[in-house]
Amino acid sequence: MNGHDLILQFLASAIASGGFAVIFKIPPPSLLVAALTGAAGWMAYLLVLPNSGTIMATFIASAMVSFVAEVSSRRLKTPATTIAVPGIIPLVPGMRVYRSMEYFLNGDNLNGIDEAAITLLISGAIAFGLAIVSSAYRLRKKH
Amino acid sequence: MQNEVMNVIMTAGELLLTSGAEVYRAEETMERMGKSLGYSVEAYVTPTGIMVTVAKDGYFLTRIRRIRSRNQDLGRIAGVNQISRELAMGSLTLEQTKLRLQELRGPIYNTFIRYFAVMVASACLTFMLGGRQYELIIAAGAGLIAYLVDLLLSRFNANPYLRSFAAAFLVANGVYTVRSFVPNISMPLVTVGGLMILVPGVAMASAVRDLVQGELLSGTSRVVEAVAIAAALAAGSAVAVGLWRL
Repeated sequence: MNGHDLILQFLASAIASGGFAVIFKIPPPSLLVAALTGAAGWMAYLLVLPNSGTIMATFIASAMVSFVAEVSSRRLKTPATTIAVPGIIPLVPGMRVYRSMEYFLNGDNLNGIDEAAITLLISGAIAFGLAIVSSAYRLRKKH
Repeated sequence: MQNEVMNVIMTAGELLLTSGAEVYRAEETMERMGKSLGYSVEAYVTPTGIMVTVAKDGYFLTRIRRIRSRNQDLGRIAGVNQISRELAMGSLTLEQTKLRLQELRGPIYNTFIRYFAVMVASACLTFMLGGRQYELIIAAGAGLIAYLVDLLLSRFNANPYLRSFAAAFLVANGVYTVRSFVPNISMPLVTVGGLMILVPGVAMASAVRDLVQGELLSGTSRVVEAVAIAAALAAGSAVAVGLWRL
């Protein structure tokens, strides 16, 4: 992927996340941050993807989204979810669900299950990326 | 007085839960708001109901509220969070809090901005998946159809599974119809781009955060909710694809 493509992908992911921020009714001050968070996650995904595969790339990207959301939500004094949710949208494996459905429809159950299993792993990677960073942010000394 | 406090706290909890907030956030917010108003509050919240006790000087008041529908509205969650914060700083009275919570029920963005956002987001997602030219325009239309179907059916109190199924079915049919005029477009790219706006992102994120907090009941039930909605989307498009192959 060359630089020109990367810029287009950056813009597309930022606009997509920004659009979702409006759909999820996030108030204007957090809108731009949510868009940039989505773009940051998608860039992390694209950069990790060639070396280590979809699942790892999704995990790193989701952790990235969660990290940016935790940091910026403290600045903006808003719950971290409001920024993280639009940010993870580009990572959602919608295409794989569709392909899996198509395989099953064609009677190709083996490929259908294969695709469904990868979808499950990717969703798990998104969840763990979010969970690990947000729990790390909650670490505190025991009194 | 205790009744008034109960009403305000219950409204805040209900707003949070019906907007898709985490259970632990609803409990914490209700307890914190009670404390700011000088009452000790104990709340037990599940995704389908709220139980709360407000206590002062040995007098206890307990109320249960059933929650039957959940939406995705991060703006309300942020709004209640802000109000609770201001209440804790002492810059709001009970009456003002009540008014501020009422104001949250109105929409932030008008209809046209939301439609525009839906179309642009669908087109951008299709672009990121590899769609080009006409595919982007058709995806924008598909996204708008999905959003309108979802909105229309929620007016009739349809549950999210029926809404997702119907939207996916109609979008896939629409894309097939368009494809008979513009033959070389990719069916999956456009359909997925259009249906992404119905992905239960808020439910999924809340589920993860609840699980991390040890709220096993809410975490697992929300995961099931999100998976069921995704399955309804897949099933809706599967039925349409199957019909067009007959």
